Amino acid sequence: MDSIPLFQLQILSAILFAIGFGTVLIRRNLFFVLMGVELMLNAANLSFLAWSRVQSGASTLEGQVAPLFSIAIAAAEACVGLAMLLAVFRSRESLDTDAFSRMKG
Amino acid sequence: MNLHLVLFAPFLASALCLFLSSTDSKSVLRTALVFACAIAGLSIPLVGSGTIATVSHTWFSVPVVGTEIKWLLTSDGLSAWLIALLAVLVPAALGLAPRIAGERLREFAALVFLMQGFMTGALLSGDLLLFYGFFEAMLIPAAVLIALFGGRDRRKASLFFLIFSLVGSAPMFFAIWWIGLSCQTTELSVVVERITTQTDPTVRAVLFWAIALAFLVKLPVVPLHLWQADAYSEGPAPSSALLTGVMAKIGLFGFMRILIPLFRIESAQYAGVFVALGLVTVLVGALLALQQTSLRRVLAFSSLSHLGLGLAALFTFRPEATSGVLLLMVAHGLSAAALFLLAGVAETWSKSSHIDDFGALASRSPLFAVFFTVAALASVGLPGTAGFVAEFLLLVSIFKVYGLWIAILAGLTVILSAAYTLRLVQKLLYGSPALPSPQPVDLTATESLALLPILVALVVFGFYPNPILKAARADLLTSLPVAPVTATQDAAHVVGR
Amino acid sequence: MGMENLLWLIPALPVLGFLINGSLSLASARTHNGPSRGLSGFLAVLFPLIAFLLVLKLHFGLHDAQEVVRAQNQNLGLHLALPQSFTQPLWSWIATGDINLSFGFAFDGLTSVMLLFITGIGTLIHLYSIGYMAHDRGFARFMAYMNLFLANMIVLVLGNGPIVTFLGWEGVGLCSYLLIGFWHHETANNDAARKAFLVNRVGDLGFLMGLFLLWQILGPSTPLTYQAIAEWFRDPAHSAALASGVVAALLTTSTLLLFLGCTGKSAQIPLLTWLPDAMAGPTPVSALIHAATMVTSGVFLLARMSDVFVHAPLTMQVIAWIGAATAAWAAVTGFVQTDIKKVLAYSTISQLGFMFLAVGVGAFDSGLFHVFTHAFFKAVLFLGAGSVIHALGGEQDLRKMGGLAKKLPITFAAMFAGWYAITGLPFGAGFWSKDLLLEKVLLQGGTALYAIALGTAILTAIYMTRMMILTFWSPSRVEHAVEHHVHEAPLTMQVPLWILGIGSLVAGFAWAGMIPGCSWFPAQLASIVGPAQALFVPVEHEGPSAILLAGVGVTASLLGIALSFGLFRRGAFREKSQAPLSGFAKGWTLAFDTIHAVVGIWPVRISSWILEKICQPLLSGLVRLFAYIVSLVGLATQWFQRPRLRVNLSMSALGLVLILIFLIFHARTLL
Repeated sequence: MDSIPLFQLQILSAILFAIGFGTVLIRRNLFFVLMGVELMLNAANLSFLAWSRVQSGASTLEGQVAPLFSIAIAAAEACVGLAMLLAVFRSRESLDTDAFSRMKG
Repeated sequence: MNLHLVLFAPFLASALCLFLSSTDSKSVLRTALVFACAIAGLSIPLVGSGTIATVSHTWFSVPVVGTEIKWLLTSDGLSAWLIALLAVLVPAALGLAPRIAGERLREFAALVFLMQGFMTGALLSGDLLLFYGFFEAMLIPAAVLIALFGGRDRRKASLFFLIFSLVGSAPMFFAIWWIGLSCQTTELSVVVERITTQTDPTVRAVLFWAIALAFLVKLPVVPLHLWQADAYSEGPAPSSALLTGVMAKIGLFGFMRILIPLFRIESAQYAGVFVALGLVTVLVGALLALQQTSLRRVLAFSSLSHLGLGLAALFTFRPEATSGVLLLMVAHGLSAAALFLLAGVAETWSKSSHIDDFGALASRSPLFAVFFTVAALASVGLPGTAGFVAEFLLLVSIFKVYGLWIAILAGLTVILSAAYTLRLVQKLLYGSPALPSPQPVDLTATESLALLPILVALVVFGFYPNPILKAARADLLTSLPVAPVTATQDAAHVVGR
Repeated sequence: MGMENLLWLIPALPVLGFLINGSLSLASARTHNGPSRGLSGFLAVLFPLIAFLLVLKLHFGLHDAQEVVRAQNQNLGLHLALPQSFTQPLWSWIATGDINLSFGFAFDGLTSVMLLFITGIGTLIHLYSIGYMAHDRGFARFMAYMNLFLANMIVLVLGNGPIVTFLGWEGVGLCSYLLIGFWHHETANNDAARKAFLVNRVGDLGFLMGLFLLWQILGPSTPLTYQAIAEWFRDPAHSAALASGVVAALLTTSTLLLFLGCTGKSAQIPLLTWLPDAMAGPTPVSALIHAATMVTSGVFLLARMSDVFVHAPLTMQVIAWIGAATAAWAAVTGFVQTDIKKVLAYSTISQLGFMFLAVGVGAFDSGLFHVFTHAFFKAVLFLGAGSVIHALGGEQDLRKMGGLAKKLPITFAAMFAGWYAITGLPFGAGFWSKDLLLEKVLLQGGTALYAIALGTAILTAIYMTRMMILTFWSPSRVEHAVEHHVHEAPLTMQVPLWILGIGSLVAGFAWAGMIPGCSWFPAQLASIVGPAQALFVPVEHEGPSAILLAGVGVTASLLGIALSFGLFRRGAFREKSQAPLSGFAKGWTLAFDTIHAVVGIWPVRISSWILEKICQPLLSGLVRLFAYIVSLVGLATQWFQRPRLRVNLSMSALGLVLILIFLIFHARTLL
C-alpha cells in the first residue's frame, strides 16, 4: 500500500469520477444514473483517503472520518433513491430520464 | 415608533382583511372602511409633526464589501402630505369598490391595503435600497388588482404595466448597487454627502440617468407613457384612482426626494432636458386626451398632461415650483382620483366605457353630477380650487426661468385641459341619455360620504393652500441646486434695483 | 370705523344664497316639482338685496369718512389725505418663495359705482327671473347659479389685487358656462356654453401671462395689489425706468396680453364669437351676465389698471382701434340678425366696443360711464325681449313678431325707454354717455376714430329701430296659434321693467356734463383714473363746443331712425321671408368663427389626430419591436433550457469546467 504514490491514487480517483459522471450523463436509465452517482461518491472517498495518508497528526483522522460519513450518507441516499425509483417506475412504467420532463406525478 | 405604526398598519389591515367573511360583502366593506379610517387617523397627524425619523438600524450588511443597508424611516412635509393624500384616497377607493369588486371585495380590500402599505413604505424610506424594495413591491398588488378586477383587456394591461415599470426601474437597482459599493452605505442622508467625493462625474451622469429613468416611467413622460392609458382604463376604477392619485406622484416624489438631492450638479446640467420632456408631455397628453373615446382614457391622458407640467416646473428649481409641485400632487391626486372613481361608477351604470354611451346624468343622477363637476373644475384649475394655485405657481416658476414664450406654451394646458374636460363633462352629464334607463340612479350615501372629504379638501386648499406650500418650502429649499440665470433678474437689472 | 370689516359680507351673502338654493335643489332632486318656488325665489332675491343695501351703506360710509377728514382739514388747517378706500385684507392666500399674495377686498369709488349697479340691477334681474323661470323644473338650480354668479362678479370687482380679481374673473366665466348651458338637454346649448368657456380661457391665459410680465416689471417685492401697482406707476422714481426701451417693450407686451384677457371677457375682436352663441341661455342670464355686468368687466379691469395702461401708448392705440372696429363690425352684423336676442347680443358687443374706444383714447371715466348707463338700458332691452319671448311662448324670431305694442303695453314702454336711451335721443341715458364719449374720442383720438364712432352711432339707431319696428310697430306676423295666448308678464317681471326703464331715462344725469351739479359719477372715479387721465395728452386741445357735438350726435341718431323707417317702407327688412340666415348675413357673423377654426381649432384637431393615429401606433410598434427582439433572444436561450436531464447536467458540468479553467488561469489576479 505504501508504495502507491498519491499521484496515482488521484488519477484513479479522477478516472472513477469521470466514469461515474459519464454514466450519469450518457445513460438514460435512471438505475444506471443512480449507480453513476454512487461511483462518483466513491471516487471522492478514495481521494479523501489518499490525501489523509500524506497528512500527519490530527488531520489524518479528519480525512478518514469524511469517507465514513459519506458512506453512511450514500447508504441512506441509495435507500431513498431506490425507493423513489421504484415509485417512479410504478407510475410511469419507465425508467427513461428523458421521459421525465415534468415533475407532476 | 410612530412611523413604524404608520407603515405597518396597512399591512396589518391587509392581513386582517383575509380573515373577513367571504360572502357578506357589506360587513367586509364596513370593516375595511373602519380600517382605512383608522389608518387615516394614524397617518394624517404626520402632516403637523414636521421632520421626524426613526432610529437608524443596520438592516443587514452586504458580505465582503461591507455596505450597510439601513432600516430607516423618515417623514417630512413632502412625504407626510402624500401619505395623508393616500390615507384620504384609500377610504374613498374602498367606498366605491363594491360596485366593481362585487363578491370578491375581501380580496380587493386586502390588495388595496397592501398597495397602501408599500406606497407608504416608499414614501417613508430613508434608505435607497429600502426605497427600491417598496418602490418595486407596490407594483405587485397594483398589477394583481388590474389582472383580477380589470376590464376586457386586463391581462395585457397588467403585463404591460408590470413590464414597463420593471424594465424602467431595473437600471435604478444597479445604480443603487453601485452607489452602495462606492459610498459604503445606502442611507440617503449619508449618500447625499458622500456621493460627490466617492464617484467621478462620468459615472455620476450614468447613475443619474439610471435613476431618472425609473421615475420617468413611473410618472410617466411622453415616450414612456404607453402603459398608462391601458392600466388606468382596463384596471378597476378604484385602483386606477390610487395609481394616478399616489403611485404616479411617487415618480415626482422620487425626483424631489432622491434624484435632485443626490445629483445636484447633474440635475442643473440636464434641467433643460427634463423641462422639455415635461412640456412635451403636457402638450401631447392634452392633445391625446382630446382624441380619446373611452372615458377613463381621457382621464389617463389628462393625468399625463398635468403631471408633465409638474415635472417641467420642478426642474426650474424655483422655491415656488417646489411648493407648487407638492400642491399639484395633492390637488391632482384628489381631483383625478375623484374623477376616476366617479367614472368607474358611471361605467357600472351604462355597462360601457365609451363616452357616447353616457349622457344626461345631470338630470338622472344630480349628486353624481355635482361631484363630477366639482372634481372636473378642480382638475381644470379653476380659481377657488387647489388646482388653480398649483398651476399658477408652476406657470410662474416656468415664466421666471424660461420667459414668456415657454410659459405660454406650458400655459396652453389652461385652454386644452378645459377643452377635453368640458367635452367629457358634456358627454357625461348633459345632452340626452344615450341608453334608456328606467330607473334614476345616484351615488349611495356611503359613496358620497367617502368622496366628500376629497371635494372639501380641493376647495379648502384652493383658498388656503399655505400649509402645503410651507411644508414643501421648509424641507426642500436646502436641497435645491442653483437655478439657471433667470429672465427676471435681467429685467430687475434694467429697472435698476 | 369698522365699515371695512363688512366688505367680506358682500360676496358672502350671495354665496350663502347659492349654498341654500343649491342644497334645496339637490335635496329635492327626486320630487316632481322641486322646492317651493316662493321660498327659493325669496331667498335668491333676499341675499343680493341685502348685498345691495350693504353696498349703499358702504358707499355713503366712504363719503362720510371723506367728509370727516375734509372737515378736520378745514377746521384745523391740516392737509391730511382723504381716505379713498376701505380695505380688508383677509388672509395670506399664496405665500411661498418670494411670492406673497393676500386675499382681501378693497372698496373705493370705482368699486362702489360698479357694485351699485351690479347688485342693484342684479337684484332686479333675480326678481324678474322668479316670473320668467316660474314654470321651469330647475328653478332652484337656476337661482343658485345666479347667486353664485353675483358672488363671483362681486369678488371680481371688490378684489384688492389682480389675482383676487382673476378668481372672480374665472368664476363668472364658470357661472356663464353653467347658465348658458342651463337647459342642458339641448346639445346646441351645451356647445354654446363650452365655446364661451373655451374662448374665455384663451383670454384668461393672456390675462395670466400679462400679469406675470407686469409682476416682473414691478419686481417680486411689490405686493400684487391694485393700490401698490398704482403707486408704483405713479412714483416719479420709476418714470425713467418706464421710459427705457426694455421695460417699455415688456410693458407693451404685458398690457397687450392683459387686454387679450379683456377681449375674451368683453367679447371684442378677436375673441367675440362666443357672445352671440351665449344667447342660448335663459333671457335673464343674457340680461345680467351678457349685457349688464360680466361682459363689462374688461372695461373695469382697464380702468382699474389705468395707471399701467397709460404707460403703454401702443396698447392704448390698439385698444382704441379694436374698440372702434368691434363697434362698427358688430353694428353691421346686428342689422342682419333675425333673432331678437342676437340683435341685442351684437348690440352689446358694439356698445362694448364704444367703451373700449373711450378707454383707448384715455377717457377711462367716460368709458365707465357708458358701462354704467349701458347696464340700465341694455338690461331693460333684454328683459323686455325676455318678456316678449315669454309672451309669445318662446318665439325669438323677429319675423314672427310685430304689432305687439298694443298687446304688451308695459313691455313696450320699457323697451321704448331702452331704445330711446341706446339711440342717444336727448336726455336719455345713452345721450349723456355716448355724447361725452364721442366728444372725448374726437378730442383725444382724432377724426378717424370719431368718424367710425359716429357712423356706428347711426348704425346703432338703424338696427335698434329695426328691432323695435319688427317687434312692436309693424303689422303682426305672429302665428295664430300663438296670438291668442299673448299676455303681459307677471308682476315680478314688470317691476324690474318699470324700474330699469325709468333708470335708462334718468341714469345719464349722474354725469350730465352740460348741467352744473350733475357730476356725481366722475367725482367717484377721480382718485382712481384721474392720475392716469392727466398723463394722457389730448391730440387737440381746442375742439368744437360740447353743444355742437351733442347736436351732431342727436342728428346722427335721428338720421339713423329715419333711415330705418325708410328701409322698412322699402321692404328691406324682408320680414315676411321665412328663409334661414344665409350667404352674406350668415358669413358676416361667422367670419371670426372661421378665423378661430383656422388659427386655433383645426391645428389642434389635426395635431391631436396625428398624435393619436400615427405617433401612438408608431411608438407602440417600437415597443412591440423591442419586445419581439427580446422574445427572439428568449427563444435562443430556451434551447439550453430543454427539459432533458442529461443536457442540463452536461451544461452545468461544462459551466463548472469553465469556472475551473478561469480560476486556474486567473487565480493570481483574483487573489
